[in-house]
Amino acid sequence: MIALRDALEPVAEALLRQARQDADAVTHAARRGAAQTIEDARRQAREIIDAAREQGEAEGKAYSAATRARSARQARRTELAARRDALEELRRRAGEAVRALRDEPGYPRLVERLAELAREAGGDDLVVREHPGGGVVAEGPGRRVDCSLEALAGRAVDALGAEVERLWAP
Amino acid sequence: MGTVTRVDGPLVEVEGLTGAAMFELVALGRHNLPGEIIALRGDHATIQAYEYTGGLAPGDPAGRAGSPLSARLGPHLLGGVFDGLLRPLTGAGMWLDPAAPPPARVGGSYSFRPLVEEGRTAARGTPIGSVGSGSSPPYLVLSPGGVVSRIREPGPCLPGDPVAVVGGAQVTLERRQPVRRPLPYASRCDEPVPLTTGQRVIDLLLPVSKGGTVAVPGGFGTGKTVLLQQIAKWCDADVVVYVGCGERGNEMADVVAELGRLTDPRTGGRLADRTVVIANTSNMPMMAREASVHTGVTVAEHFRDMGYDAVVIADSTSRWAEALRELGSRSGALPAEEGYPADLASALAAFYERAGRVTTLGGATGSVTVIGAVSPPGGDMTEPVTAHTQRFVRSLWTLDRDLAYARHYPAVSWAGSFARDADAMTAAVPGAAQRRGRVSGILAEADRLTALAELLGAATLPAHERVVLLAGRLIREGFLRQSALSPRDCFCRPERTALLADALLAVVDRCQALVEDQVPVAWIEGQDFSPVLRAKEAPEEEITARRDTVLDALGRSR
Amino acid sequence: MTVWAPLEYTDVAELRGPLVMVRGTKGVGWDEYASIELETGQRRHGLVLEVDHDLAVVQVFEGTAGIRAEGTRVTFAGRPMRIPVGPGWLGRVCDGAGRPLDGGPPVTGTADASVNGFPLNPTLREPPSEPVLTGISAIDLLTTLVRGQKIAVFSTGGLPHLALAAQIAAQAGAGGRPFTVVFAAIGLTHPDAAAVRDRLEERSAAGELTLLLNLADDPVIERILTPRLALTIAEHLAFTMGRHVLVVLADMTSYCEALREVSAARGEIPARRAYPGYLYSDLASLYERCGRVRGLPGSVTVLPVLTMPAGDITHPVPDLTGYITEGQILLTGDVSAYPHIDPLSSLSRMMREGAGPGRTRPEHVDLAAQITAALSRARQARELAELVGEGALSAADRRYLALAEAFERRLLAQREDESRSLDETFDRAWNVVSVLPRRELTMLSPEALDAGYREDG
Repeated sequence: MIALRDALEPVAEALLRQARQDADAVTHAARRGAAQTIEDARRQAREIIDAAREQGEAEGKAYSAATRARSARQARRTELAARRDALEELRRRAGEAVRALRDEPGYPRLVERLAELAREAGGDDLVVREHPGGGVVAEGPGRRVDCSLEALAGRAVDALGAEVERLWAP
Repeated sequence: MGTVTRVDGPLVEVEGLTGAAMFELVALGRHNLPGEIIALRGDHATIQAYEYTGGLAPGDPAGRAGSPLSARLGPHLLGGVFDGLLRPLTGAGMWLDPAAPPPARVGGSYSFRPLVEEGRTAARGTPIGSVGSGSSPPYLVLSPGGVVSRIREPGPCLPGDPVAVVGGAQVTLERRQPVRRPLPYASRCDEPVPLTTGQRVIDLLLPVSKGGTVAVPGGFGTGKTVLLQQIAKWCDADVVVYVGCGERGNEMADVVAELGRLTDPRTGGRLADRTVVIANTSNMPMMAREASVHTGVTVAEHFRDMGYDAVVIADSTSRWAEALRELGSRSGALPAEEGYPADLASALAAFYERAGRVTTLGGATGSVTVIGAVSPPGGDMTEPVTAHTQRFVRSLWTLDRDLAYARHYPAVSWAGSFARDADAMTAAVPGAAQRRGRVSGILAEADRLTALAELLGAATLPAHERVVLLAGRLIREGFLRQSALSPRDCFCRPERTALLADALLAVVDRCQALVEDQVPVAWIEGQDFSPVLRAKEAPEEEITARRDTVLDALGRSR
Repeated sequence: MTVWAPLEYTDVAELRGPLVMVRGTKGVGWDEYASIELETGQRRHGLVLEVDHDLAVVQVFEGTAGIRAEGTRVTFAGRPMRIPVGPGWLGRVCDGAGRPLDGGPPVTGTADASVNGFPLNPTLREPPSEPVLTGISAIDLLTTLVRGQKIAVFSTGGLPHLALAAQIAAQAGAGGRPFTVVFAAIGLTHPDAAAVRDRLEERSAAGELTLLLNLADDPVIERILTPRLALTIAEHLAFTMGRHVLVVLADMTSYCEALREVSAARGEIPARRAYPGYLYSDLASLYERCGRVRGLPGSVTVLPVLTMPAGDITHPVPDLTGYITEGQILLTGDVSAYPHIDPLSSLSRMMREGAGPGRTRPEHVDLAAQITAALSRARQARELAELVGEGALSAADRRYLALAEAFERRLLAQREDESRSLDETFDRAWNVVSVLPRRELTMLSPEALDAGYREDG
């Protein structure tokens, strides 16, 4: 386990740094976008609630708990959806950024390291082939290691963990 | 060093353990999880693990400890709280993570006092020294037998320090003992001596002897734990070992807090100082539950050997039996009734058999009383654990749901319980047998008439039978009911129990005499009996006066 | 901990019920978290139930429907299942496995924790104390919930136990201290779940609620996970963030059925009614996660809600639950008014620690005991009346019947959207006991009677 992590360290770190760097750029851009989206969502939510109240009053009915609950939920849903969109956008752009590694001069070296990694994780008898989307996939009897760039990009965003909350934190 | 090959929850299989013995302790995996060998085939061992085995994988190492599961017995036990393997819980972390390092050793310094002189011969089992730790019963260091060639001067002493050399062997305050093997004694004493529990229904109707065995079956909500806690607090034992075996954590916290608050009426010290708590709550590893009852009895035997009367309270033996079933099921043993292993009955018998009043190797008299709670599923008294346990115990205190439902506590059913040694024990005390006979006679007769009255209405019964119904009510409310929460009523010493019973019986006698004199029964029923009904809450010297108040009121009709 | 090159196993030896047997594994530990990727790219999750040499038995939460032996890839996490914990759960609505249902992004946390938790050291437990007030008179007065306690709601099919659970979840509070509800809905129908969600909307919007919804048509095995997620989230909110947390688990009977299904698929030797022999320990590993910790401010109070199959209280699920919980609130069709609580069969063992002077009202415990005793006497009188006719009852017995009637009408009966303050509950309680002549109220002190008894009652 330790040996494996040591071997992974340089690649993982490079990947994470790359993802984070790109993600940072993305975040900045996205954050402005997201802030706008979320602000829009909040405004929309207020409008929904006001509309519901006005409608209730107009129809001469009490502004019932059920109506209030419904509009509160809709408002909340709008905001949460905006957060999710922001995260999706980050994921998409992080993926793009990682895929861009293919055009880097160091890419062949990266593929080599990924092949090494895959064999270390799954055994020397694995057959390594390049993934059409970049990166490698290694396969053997009963085992498989996926080091495609696409998979790595996903893992890089996952590794950010709670950091992604910066996207919508006030 | 062996290798783990299979992990199925607490059941672990290991190969390559050459030379291992049955019930030998094994350390499993990177975190050295303790486990015990329960089956051997060649160098292939089946092990029950005492900790959560999450993460343990085939290929992980497994090492023999070379000894069976043993407990560290020493002066640190009194007043302490331990897990099922007798590892201290005080000082362990907030979450019991098996991978966490064990807590630092507990047990500070003790004040040692030698009891023999150098050069003397001390027979095996006789005390050679003692340590006082405040209000606890003195902790005695026993001789392994032989000539005392060295003995420590009086003064402070750590648990691991040598205090003597006897017969060439070094002696410390502690000893390690395998928990599944009973500690040896010289002989059993036959004549039963009562253990006073302070609970009237038990002490009068269903007494238990020192060294006796009791099972307490009761469905949930019948007040089983409260009753056992009352006994743990007030019974006249020297040492109480309270084993919380698969029960509630909040209750354990409560027991520990309360024992620390209460004063022992006999020594003036804290009740906690005579108590050893073994806490294996229901969310702690299941297999340690299996070990905890054996550890508990071993601790009690250790104090018995010092000449003390020890009581083991195990709440609940049903959870222990479930652990047996769980392991049997995972190891593929052929199941008997309700999935329990075929050796359930013999396992229960072996546990209760460790009770007894004995002459120790050193010639002292000591006892181990075992009180085991039983939790019958669905209140079904025919289920295997309840049914088998009844065969092996001397006393049975059945808790009745209807009584509990009517808030009659302790909800011990007088009809559904037994005490096989009651006659032998009451024979020694003048008047005791007659008192017990009269009270149980009234209760039985009143039960029979109640059933009749429910069918026909009480008004249809003849006067002398209506008085029996009244007598039954007086005994139930004025005597059997006992409040665990009332400072005066929670414990009732034997003299007071007799006084209360006699006061009520005198009132009953008067009522019966009145009916024979043709006094209308409705008038008798309408009398105010509250002075005797509430006598249990009154100071002892008032009881007779309260009886006379009622007798006088009744007498006015004449 | 990110694994950059996770090893996937592709040799599926057998599929049975919710189980996948994977061959050729190395170093996979018991109870490890597994992720299963289907050919379609769909991802499922599971736990290792047994490892035997190179064979790992994995229980799949989402079930095995559609999984083929070929083309399925299983990855092991190298450790038991962990989830993110922290304030990120507040105000969220997720499915039974913690995936968002509210349209938001996946929940992230400030830390992560094992879903199994660890046993709390019993020497560091602080006995429960202080009430959780629910605004429901019958509960607050007679079976007061105590912070750190576990108390079950027993019900039968057709009774509104979910409405009651939702009402408790919506109204409960800890006297102004930070309070949170984690509501785990287990095996609920869509309309039931929607009703619960509506009822709790306000609390959710206030960021005081986490709602986990496993619906009746959701994967059955996922139900094994749902209460564990709820409790793991709650433990962190309580013991790291210092909040008082109420965990509602409804319906635990559905949970137990899921457990039975896995047990049957594994061919385990069954105990009562084909439930596994470890049902008690399994339930205890959930319910025992309630409590308070010495020196820490928060608390976890657990309220399992369950339906007794065919109304049978000796059925293993209510029976074993009753052995573990510290009391129960029993609903019965015999009480015609909502919330249908049977006051005589309901009991909070910890009540004494949560009620009384400085906590609720000085006379609380005595008043509750007096009402229970009076109701018990009234029940006897009613049984007698059924036998011999009400006319044959004594005047005293008739007063007791009047008390029982007043109790049900003035105190117990309550609207589903009605939250009563403690003052109001006690006002009603005194009205009820004042139906009896003062001399009958022997359990109340003269001072309490002077202050509370109403002569015109």
